[in-house]
Amino acid sequence: MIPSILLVDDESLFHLVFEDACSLLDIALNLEAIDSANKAEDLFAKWSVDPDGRPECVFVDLNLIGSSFDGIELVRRVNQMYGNGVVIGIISSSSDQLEIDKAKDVGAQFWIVKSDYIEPRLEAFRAKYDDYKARTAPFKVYT
Amino acid sequence: MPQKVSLPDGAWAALIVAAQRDRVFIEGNILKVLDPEGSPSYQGYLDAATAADKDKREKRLQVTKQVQEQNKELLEAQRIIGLKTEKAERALNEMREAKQQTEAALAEAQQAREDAEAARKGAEGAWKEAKNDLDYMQKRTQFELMGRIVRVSLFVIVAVGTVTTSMYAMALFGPKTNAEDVNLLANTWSNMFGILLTNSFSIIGTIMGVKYATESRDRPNE
Repeated sequence: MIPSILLVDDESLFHLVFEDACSLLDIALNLEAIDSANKAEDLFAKWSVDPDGRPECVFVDLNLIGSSFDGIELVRRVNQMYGNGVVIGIISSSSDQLEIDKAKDVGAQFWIVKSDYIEPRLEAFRAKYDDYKARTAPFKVYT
Repeated sequence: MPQKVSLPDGAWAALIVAAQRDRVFIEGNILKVLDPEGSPSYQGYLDAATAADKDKREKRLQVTKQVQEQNKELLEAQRIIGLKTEKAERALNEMREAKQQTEAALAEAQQAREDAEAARKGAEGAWKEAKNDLDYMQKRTQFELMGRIVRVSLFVIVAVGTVTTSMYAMALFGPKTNAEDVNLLANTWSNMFGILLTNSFSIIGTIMGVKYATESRDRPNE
């Protein structure tokens, strides 16, 4: 079980889906969901000074309406500006290869495609989680 | 693995009583960290609470997914309505522009019609003026012709009268007078004078007739 997860997604209904799916699958003990890349950046800026409360794993939506930058840019900032100390990847309904390549280039460790039935992808991700944490797992797209 | 949380026996007993009496369980992630400490009854409570929690979460997850799907459809419908509204607004604007252009073209056509009307009136005026000028010229020419005829006729009458009268006077009062010649000249003078007077009045009558006829012909055109 992942001790703490941060979900960054502008769709509040997906927060509920993700929370329930993680709870049913015993994926996460503590899950925080926010709707903006800017809020996430502020949190990481704070955690770079004081790591208390910092999540172990971060799921970022690709298109974050209402934010001043997208999910790939958030992954880049988290990895390059605030220290590469978390398991981080993209969760999006898009499976555009160009975007996937960009995410991989900025240090995303996984790409999970959102759909109505997301549970099997989350289970597959959880199975590999220890490898992601150890940074030994290759980048993977969960479709 | 997360660190386990222990509860005092009293708390466990209260939880179990609430579950048996009211079917009320604690729920959420706290269930994952509670330690039953090997007690079958505590473990039973945790299993029942976890099953109830899972059941609720599954139901909520399905409902949330349905709502999410409906929300997607609504958002898509909203997007389509937005596009259609935008298209309708664009069409409305184009229609407004077309109407303005039609109105401008109509105003131009009206102006052109007024200009054409003014030009027609101007042409009509010019035509009337030209016609009046022509009439004036024709009348002037007629009057000049008539004057000339009258002058020539008077000249001829006066000249013939003078010559005949002179000859008659010479025959009457000349040195060599012959009664037969005088008589002949008297008759001739008398006849000639009668003819001249008749012709004079005939000419005057003809002129007056021509003038009257010309005026009668012109009148209906005015």
